[in-house]
Amino acid sequence: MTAEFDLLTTVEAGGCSAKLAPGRLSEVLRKLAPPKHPNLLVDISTHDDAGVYRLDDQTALIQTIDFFPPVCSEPRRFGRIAAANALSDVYAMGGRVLTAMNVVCFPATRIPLEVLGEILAGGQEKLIEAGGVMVGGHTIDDWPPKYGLAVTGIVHPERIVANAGLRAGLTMILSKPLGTGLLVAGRRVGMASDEDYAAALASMEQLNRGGAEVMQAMDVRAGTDITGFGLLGHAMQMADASNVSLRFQASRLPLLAGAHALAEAGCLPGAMFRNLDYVAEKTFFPPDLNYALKMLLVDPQTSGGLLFGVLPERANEALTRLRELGYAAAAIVGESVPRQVWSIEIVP
Amino acid sequence: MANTTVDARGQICPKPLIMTKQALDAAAVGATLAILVDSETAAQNIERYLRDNGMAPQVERDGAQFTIGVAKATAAPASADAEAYCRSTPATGDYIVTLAADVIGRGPAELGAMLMKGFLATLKELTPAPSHLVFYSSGILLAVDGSPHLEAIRAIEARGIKVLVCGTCADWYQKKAEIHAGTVSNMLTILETMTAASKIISP
Repeated sequence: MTAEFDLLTTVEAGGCSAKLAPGRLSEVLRKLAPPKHPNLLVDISTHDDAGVYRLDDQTALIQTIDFFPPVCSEPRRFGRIAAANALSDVYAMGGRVLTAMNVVCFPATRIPLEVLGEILAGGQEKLIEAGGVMVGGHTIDDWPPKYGLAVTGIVHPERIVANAGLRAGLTMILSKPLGTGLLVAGRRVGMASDEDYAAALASMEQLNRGGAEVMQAMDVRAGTDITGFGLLGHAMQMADASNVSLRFQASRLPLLAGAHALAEAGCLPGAMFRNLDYVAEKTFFPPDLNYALKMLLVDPQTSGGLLFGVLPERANEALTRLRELGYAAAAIVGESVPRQVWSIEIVP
Repeated sequence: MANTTVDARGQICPKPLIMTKQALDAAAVGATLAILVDSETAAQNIERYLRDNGMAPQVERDGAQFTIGVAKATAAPASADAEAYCRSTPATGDYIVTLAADVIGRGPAELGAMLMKGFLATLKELTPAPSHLVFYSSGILLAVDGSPHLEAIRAIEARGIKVLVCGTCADWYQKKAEIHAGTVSNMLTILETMTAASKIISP
């Protein structure tokens, strides 16, 4: 029995769309006493990517967990993407990965066991690439399957890269191209070419490890990874947490091949309109902005790139290093400015 | 009478929007289009798209079907629209309800059935209404012949709420021929519906 089982036949909601709605979760969390501890350096209050706990003056633990139902058909690819996505939260805090545990829900019957083997092998591949060690896992008999990792990383307590670390006058860099949401939607309706779709999958599988290393080498203190809320959603969280505004140059945004054409053709997933609503009140769009480009700014990303602010005089070096590490599309996309009425301003 | 009719009923998102764009590209400025869709989300997204591109669409609802009428304008949106972007009003009823069991809760079955009855009766009147009601797993038994809830579900459907019943589940229970409310649907449509909703209520 080969593992040619199509994982997408098992799910009603895949990827991050399987999350409990944030509003409902807040209702529950509000009733719990907020965690307070002198060693808890980053907690859930700032919408950051992971929790950070100081062990001593040299070392802080980064802990994060992420798992979800299938986002693509092939088991090994799903394993790789889910692992890259979970590991990304450590990288978004500027850390490096130490250990991980598999988090697995898989039915005892109905799916060949080889499929699980392929998913785990995909996850293992990415963890090895991350330089991490798999120390165990937990498996529940459940339908539909779900997979991800609980990841432990470390970072120097004074070198944490957080949402709230921006100040005015920094150059903003994005390490991966936008458009994975459009390419996945385009694939479903048969409009994305094999080549363009393959590039989108490769981008989702690519670790943010190199990006994190560049952030540390360039003394970056403010960054995040771009996922379901799209570039502008995550940028808005950073701008608001840091009390600055961000100005993006639409023409400089790196895009996956085929993404702009899909947006022009009206292949716009519903989540884009929700993301647009999320940022609309706090974003200024120039009236003559190309509509497809505007929608790309709110395209929901799976395992997207890092967005970070670096000193202007170090921006070119950061960019060169990122490209050397395999982020061919990395680009300077804008700058941070003193707080204005808008959290975000788009210029042509 | 519209110059062109785009029938996008039964198409998965974002196909209706793609078909709309194609028809717009082919139409002359000033020509009128009528776009037919059977998903509220698709109707909202198309309306939003047209407004964003400087047009003034009119949406009419007939049960679960929506007709969007629009006259093609030049593509360049007026600068006044920049304001509109920033004041977009959230769509009412941008949520869906999923029922994955024929009872509510894990208490005694009798209580669970009573709660379900109350739930469906309330949902029938609730404002804003959900865009979709999705039945899967043993939830599909609510929509089969002889179910005491069938009338309530039909009344919900009559409000224009789209009712989806999981086809795989209906097959599993060998009840497909007995489903007499809603539309028997597939994983893709249900997934798209859930993905497009802002909120999913699962009692």
